[in-house]
Amino acid sequence: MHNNQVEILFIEDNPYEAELAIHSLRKHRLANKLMHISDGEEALDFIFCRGKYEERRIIPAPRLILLDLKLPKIDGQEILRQLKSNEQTRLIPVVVLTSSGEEKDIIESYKLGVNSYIVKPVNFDSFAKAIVDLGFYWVILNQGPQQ
Amino acid sequence: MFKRISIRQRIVLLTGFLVFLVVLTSSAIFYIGAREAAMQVGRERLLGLTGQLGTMFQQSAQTLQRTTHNAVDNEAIRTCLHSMGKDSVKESLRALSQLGADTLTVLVELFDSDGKLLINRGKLPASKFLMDSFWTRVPTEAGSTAVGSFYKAGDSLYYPIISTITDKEKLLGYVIRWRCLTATPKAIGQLSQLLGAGATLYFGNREKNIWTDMMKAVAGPPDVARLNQGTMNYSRPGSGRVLAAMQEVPDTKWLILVEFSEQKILETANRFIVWLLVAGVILVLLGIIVAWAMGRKITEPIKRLTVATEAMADGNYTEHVDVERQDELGKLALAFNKMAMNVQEARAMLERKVKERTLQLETSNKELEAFSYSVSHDLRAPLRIINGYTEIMSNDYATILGDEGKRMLDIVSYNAKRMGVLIDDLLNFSRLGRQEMTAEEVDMKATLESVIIEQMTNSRQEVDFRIGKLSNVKGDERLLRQVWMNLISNAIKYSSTRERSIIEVESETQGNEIQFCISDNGVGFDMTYAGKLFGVFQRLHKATEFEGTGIGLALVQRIIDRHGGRVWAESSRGEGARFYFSLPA
Repeated sequence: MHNNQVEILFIEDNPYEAELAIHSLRKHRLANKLMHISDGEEALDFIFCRGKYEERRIIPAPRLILLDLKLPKIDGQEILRQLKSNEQTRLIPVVVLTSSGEEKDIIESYKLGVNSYIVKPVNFDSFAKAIVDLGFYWVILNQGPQQ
Repeated sequence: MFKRISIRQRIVLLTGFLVFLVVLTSSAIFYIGAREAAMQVGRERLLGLTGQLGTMFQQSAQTLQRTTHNAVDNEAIRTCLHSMGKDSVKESLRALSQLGADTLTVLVELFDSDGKLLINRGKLPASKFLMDSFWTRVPTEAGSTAVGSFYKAGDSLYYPIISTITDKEKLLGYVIRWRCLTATPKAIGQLSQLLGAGATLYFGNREKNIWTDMMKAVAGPPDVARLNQGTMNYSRPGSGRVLAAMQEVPDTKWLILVEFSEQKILETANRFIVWLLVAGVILVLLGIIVAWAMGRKITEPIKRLTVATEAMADGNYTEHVDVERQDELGKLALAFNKMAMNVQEARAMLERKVKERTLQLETSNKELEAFSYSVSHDLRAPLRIINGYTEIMSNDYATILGDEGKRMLDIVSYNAKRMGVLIDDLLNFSRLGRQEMTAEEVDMKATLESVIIEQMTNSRQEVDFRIGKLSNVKGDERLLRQVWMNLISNAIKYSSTRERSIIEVESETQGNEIQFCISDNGVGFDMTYAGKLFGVFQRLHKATEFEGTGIGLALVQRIIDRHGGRVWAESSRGEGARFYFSLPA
């Protein structure tokens, strides 16, 4: 995948959750320019163009970052913090997509500046619908800042 | 009434009473003693005086006898008598006149031995005195002179001095000298001095028929009066009680009676008793005042202790009592202070412990809550994935699977979903069991109606709800709402096979609990298995007949249990069911 053409950055460690989500998005042709990274550190490398991705240019930035909070090693909140505290990445919309609906996670995420917080529905049908709605909203409907 | 007297008042009353008792007793004793003493003195004085007077009058009488005898013991009188009053009359008269010179002598008479009057000299007629009985009492011994009894004539009393005239042992006649019984003022004065104040002297006859106080006739002593036997007590009309002594005057026919006014005798004693009583009253008052003042010393500390104890009873354990004394009250105060301190410490410690425990429990609960939350999400994730893949398989690989394959996939999917529901139910059940319950007035009718509306929204089932008058209860509104929800949803579900469901709800107060009943006209259940009805995940119908996890009734029981009530049910297959629950009134 061409580094510059990433529209959606999907950070999720569980391959099955990832496959199901991508499957739903693909069905609605929202997954063309989707990048899936299953490791937190690697995701940061990608965002800040270092390590494996040092040849990537920060601009243009992805139009949406889907972030799971429960990541091994680096915590999702930490990634969120780094994203939102860096001038160059601050404006990228971040949607937390996680199984935790705990109040403290929600508050922490909003304090860090998350754009939206979605709890994965337990029912698969609802989950699929939510994913698709997300995609349509943030990629198609929502107006992001011009790069 | 006696119970309401305070200690202080009791002390005062007791002291007053005791002092009064002592004063009364000693006064009585002293008074009686003083009376006795006075009476004794009086008695002795009376007897002495009476004796003295007796002797005195005896001497007077003797003198009179002598003078009378001397005056008439002469020849002239004898001659006159011999001659039967013819001879020596003038000389005789002279002799008689000599006797008459005495102012008190009113008449002197000369009688012969037969009692015939010969001559007389005086101011009164002789016949006034002579009665038949007179001569029987006249002495007959030769040479004797006697003083006779009193005789009344007009307003005065007279007594005879009878002298016998004899000649050589032969009785010739009598000379009777009548004297008036009066006393000269001088004599009365002297007598009064002798008698003293409060004493009266009476003269009387031996026959006790005439009595005088030398100025007028008086009544005699009462019949109980005895002669020469010590003193007597009686009451003289007009004068009061008297102490009296009666005595014969020797050599006369007289009796003297000396009366002492009792009041006079007891005068000192009575004055004494008045002073005694006055002193007594002062003592009683003094005693009361002292008791009142002293009482304070006792009741004050008791009052302070009471105040502190009442404060303690109201929950204030910081009061303590000042201790200044070492007696019983002092010890009590010390013990009280110690007790208050102990109680205060114990309470403080209890409060600390309770706080600790509560903190522990709260922490524990929070941990449990977080645990079940994370467990539920962690358990549901794989379920979601199972559902996802089966969905994809079912959609995208339908042709390869075939009908049978698809059916089996559906079963996998269904069961995964069911597992999710079970997890939710279990978590719910657990959470509702751990929650804090509030106790407020719950409007059961309103709650039920809102639950019905919620359940019936988006339902196409025909249900006829008949709700009676429902009592309000005390409990947790949210939890009770859950109860209604489960019971109503069951009633609706199990009567869905009927063309028209009829669900009735009623409440009734039985003793100290309020019972609620929900009955439906559904399929009912077999009473044989009623014991399993409220078990967790227990069902009495097949999953193919009616859906459900079997947790609804278990939840109902748990909630009602926590409210202190009971649940039970009745039914028969095909004839609907009646579910009951009760709550304390």
